[in-house]
Amino acid sequence: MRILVVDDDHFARLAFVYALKDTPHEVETAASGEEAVHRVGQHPYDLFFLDLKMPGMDGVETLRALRKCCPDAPVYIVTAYRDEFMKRLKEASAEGLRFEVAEKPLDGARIVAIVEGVLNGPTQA
Amino acid sequence: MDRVTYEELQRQLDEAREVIRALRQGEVDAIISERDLALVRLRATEEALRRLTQELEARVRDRTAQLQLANERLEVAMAELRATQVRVLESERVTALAALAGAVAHEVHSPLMGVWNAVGYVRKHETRPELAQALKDADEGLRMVSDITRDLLTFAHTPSHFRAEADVSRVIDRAVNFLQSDLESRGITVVREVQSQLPLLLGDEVRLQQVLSNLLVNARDALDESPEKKIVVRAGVVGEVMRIEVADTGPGVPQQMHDRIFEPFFTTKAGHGTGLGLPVSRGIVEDLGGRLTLEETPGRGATFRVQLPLAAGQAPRSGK
Repeated sequence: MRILVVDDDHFARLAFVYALKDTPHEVETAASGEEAVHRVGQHPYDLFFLDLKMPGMDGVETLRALRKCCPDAPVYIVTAYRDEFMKRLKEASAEGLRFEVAEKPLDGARIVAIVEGVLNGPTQA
Repeated sequence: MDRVTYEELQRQLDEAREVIRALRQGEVDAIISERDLALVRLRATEEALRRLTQELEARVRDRTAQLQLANERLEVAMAELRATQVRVLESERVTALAALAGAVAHEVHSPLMGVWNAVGYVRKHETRPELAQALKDADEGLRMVSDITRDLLTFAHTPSHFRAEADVSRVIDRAVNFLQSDLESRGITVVREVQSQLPLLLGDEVRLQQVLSNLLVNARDALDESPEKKIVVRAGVVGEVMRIEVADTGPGVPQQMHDRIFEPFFTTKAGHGTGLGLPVSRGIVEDLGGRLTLEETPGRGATFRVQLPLAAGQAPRSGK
């Protein structure tokens, strides 16, 4: 699988890179929503991890843009502030944008578990 | 002119005297009766005065008692006000601390996860025993820091309104399995007494697991110096309530600390522990419409009990 991790925090991106280093998956990173949109234009991804709180395009805006080109790839919105963005996530959900929520703290084991879940679980229709 | 005899004169004089005497007597009687009347009036007045005084005294006593009562009430109210003030200050202090702690935890979280996963990656590939041991130590330390930041993040932020079907037996298994090797290395046995076919709850499995983990870690730490090292995790339905218990064979919680252990930043663990495990856990449980309590088991270790309403028809309402 090709995975794109979108987070403005360098170490947060590294957390995904190291957690998935021993898996056969290709992990790429983007430091902003804008960069993610640019990358998605170049080639498709099978899974996204998306930080909710970012300067510039935040997670919900990025999700909206990603859904235009990749309507089916699972997107995990990563946040420690689920409630703070709850309203925005509800709006996104009401728009019909599909996503999952992965709540911080997200340790290596959980990252791997999510990826394995996407790989083995029922694929998104 | 009639001849007036001496006797006659004497007699007339006597008569006159008699008349005068009678008159005087009458006067005296009249005076006496007037005096008596005045006396009676005086007595009546005195009586009225006495009654008035009594009444006044009674009213004064009454008013004094009322004042005293009001004063006592005022003092009680003042004491309550002072206590409330202290509580408000305390909760403001805690809120400020929580906000600060949350901000710090949030900042620490990303680099921590990056470093932890990097260490985990190197650890997996390092075969030299000494280095592998050092990496294992580093990994365990980072896990502890991660638990602390997790508690701080949960404590600092508004409750989660995430609700889904939650499987308590799965949550228990995950929480126990996560700590299993650590518990084994300390010689602690965990006994699971989980009712089969537990109904599902409406809740948040991740947060419920956090509660279980916190209770297990507390139980683990309580067993450090105990001869018998056993933790029993029970789960079952009692009436309309899901009851989950974590019981240890440690020294138990001293009576005077029963309330304090649920206060934020209160800890009995010298050197480690944020003092947030129990308040965070209680917050999570109450957020799900349940209760987290310490059950009294004198001389038989500590038992923490989680009670959660069952999902069917009585799911906790989201605050939003």
